[in-house]
Amino acid sequence: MTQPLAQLTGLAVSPVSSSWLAPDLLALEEPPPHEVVPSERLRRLDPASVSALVLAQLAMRSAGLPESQQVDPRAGLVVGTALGCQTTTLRYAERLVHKGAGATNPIDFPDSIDGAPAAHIAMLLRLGGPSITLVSGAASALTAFATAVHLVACGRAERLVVVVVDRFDAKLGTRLAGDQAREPNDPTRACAELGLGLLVESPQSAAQRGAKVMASVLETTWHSQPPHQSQSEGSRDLAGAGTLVNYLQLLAEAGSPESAAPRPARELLPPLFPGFGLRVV
Amino acid sequence: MPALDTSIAITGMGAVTALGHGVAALLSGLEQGARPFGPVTRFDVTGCRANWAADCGPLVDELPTRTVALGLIALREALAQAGAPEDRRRWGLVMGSAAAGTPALEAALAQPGVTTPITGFAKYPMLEYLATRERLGGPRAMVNTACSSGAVSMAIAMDWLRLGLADAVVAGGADELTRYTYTGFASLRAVDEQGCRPFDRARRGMTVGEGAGCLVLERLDDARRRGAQLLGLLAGTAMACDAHHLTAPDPEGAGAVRAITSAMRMAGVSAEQIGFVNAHGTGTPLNDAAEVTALVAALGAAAPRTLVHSVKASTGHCMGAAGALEAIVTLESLRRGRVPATAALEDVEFAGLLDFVQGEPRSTTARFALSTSFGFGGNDACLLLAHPEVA
Repeated sequence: MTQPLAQLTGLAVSPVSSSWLAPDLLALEEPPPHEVVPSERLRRLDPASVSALVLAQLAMRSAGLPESQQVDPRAGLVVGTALGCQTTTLRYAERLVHKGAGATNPIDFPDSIDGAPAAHIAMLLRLGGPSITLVSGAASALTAFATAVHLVACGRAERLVVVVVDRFDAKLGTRLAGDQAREPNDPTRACAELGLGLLVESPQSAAQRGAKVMASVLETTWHSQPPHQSQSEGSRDLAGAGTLVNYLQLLAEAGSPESAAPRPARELLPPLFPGFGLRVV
Repeated sequence: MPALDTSIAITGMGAVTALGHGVAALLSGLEQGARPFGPVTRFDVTGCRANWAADCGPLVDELPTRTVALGLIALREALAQAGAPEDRRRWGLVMGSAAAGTPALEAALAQPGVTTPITGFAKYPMLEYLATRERLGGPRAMVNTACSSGAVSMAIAMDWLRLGLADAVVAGGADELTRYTYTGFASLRAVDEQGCRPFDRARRGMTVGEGAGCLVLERLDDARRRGAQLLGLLAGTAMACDAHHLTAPDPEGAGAVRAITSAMRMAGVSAEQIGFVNAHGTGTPLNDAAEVTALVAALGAAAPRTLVHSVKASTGHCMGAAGALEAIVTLESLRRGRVPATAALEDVEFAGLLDFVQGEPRSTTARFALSTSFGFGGNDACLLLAHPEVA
């Protein structure tokens, strides 16, 4: 078999309420954040950062990785998000617009940036390798996953936490999402808050620690066919996590890679991204 | 897996900053020690501690946003210099931006009662617009690692080329001066009311700027095959995270040291071979101190002999564009054999630890140089660039 570029060894999906997501396959119920992340780490954080921390921690646990006390330079992370920390961004901007330039909140500003969730994850999990936030709209999930695979394949890290997250702001989330948003009364709106946590690892690292391999990425191909803005059925979340989850479900349905009969390689060519390919077993 | 090709050629560059449009204007302004800073006029900053920014001035093109307009200027210059072919279906685009979109949000919030979608807030439409307009059909990604975005974009582009995902990749960044970003840094008391003075004992913060930078990257063999002009090499790239604090750098610079040493290791270049460093050099007290600590640790015995300068005293801090713009300056400095001085650097705080370029540009015969970029969240990136004769 072709040597994999990288392997998937941890996975967490949240929430499980999405009707199209079979809960017995891959989904994990997102527990209350303070049960997963120390409360002091959650104080004042944007909802997107809170979810990101939870998903990252669950992905690490799913991969069977212990919490590290030391900064690990060979472990990194990639975050994909369409709109970043909406709630804090809006809070900062509203104060700026309505109270003036001299009244802005210095605490809100750094926590409003797109990279805030990644920063909090790195601090919590002591990840000292590459830390990248990708804001590629509905392609963010696939771009984040592929980027993690590439970072491993190029020897930049042994393992990376991948988190895909967006949290709608109650007041303006649908306005910010524009034509990506569901109507506020749409029962499928929960899908827009789908979050995903993954652990992508080098084959050597996975083998060395005896990790359970959920999938092996053999190849990525990628060319762009605009726009990345429309959404396919069953994938209504902003950052496109659903597209990736749907595919991973297909893998799970086919059985584990350790099963007796080797599975054929599958092409990931979701309708949303006709130019984006992953060859995975 | 096949051996990874790390010989990445740079065949085109484009820039726009407050120093002017084009790479030539950028280098000319730096060599003259220009400081095109002035009061903020494009939006109201009444009540802020400082009123001082680096503005690119009026732009001609009517495009969706000012950031897109800046990006397009740089992109077109880079593609033209590279002699890009008509068929660019396998040419990728990776751009960094830290602030794009917030003007649209502010405008929407200023209209109470309106419930229509807020267009222009998300950053990725900029990527789509630029790629579609210039017919770049390869991989695309939009990066936001704050102030290191432009440098991270180049590392991602390098990986795409090493893995064969594209024939060429344009990497860079673009950011306009926004009220959101300006007031954010002002509220953190990170803006110097006299204009930034990197590495000076009297430094008090940054000057917020705007601009765009783009570089065309190709595998060296491919560039030679199509007869492209070789401007230099991207010989090493590395990224690391401090995992220390959301805004403050690790005072020991541990993440920065990892990024710098990893870039040198990838390129197979020793500290003694590094002629100069184009430092992140924001002019904030904490950043400059941590960066000097990191450079001294990473360069070891070679540190006192290594030239160090910062362009931000002339361009301002161009946020997501900074890393790409500074890579352009680094490569041009190698090609011209002259390292621009850091403008307004009078009383060096860290004298003797590194060789800070002040007053006049310094001549160099160096074949290798570093460009460092650091951002909120402890994001550290380092690029190692090489003179074209190295190829």
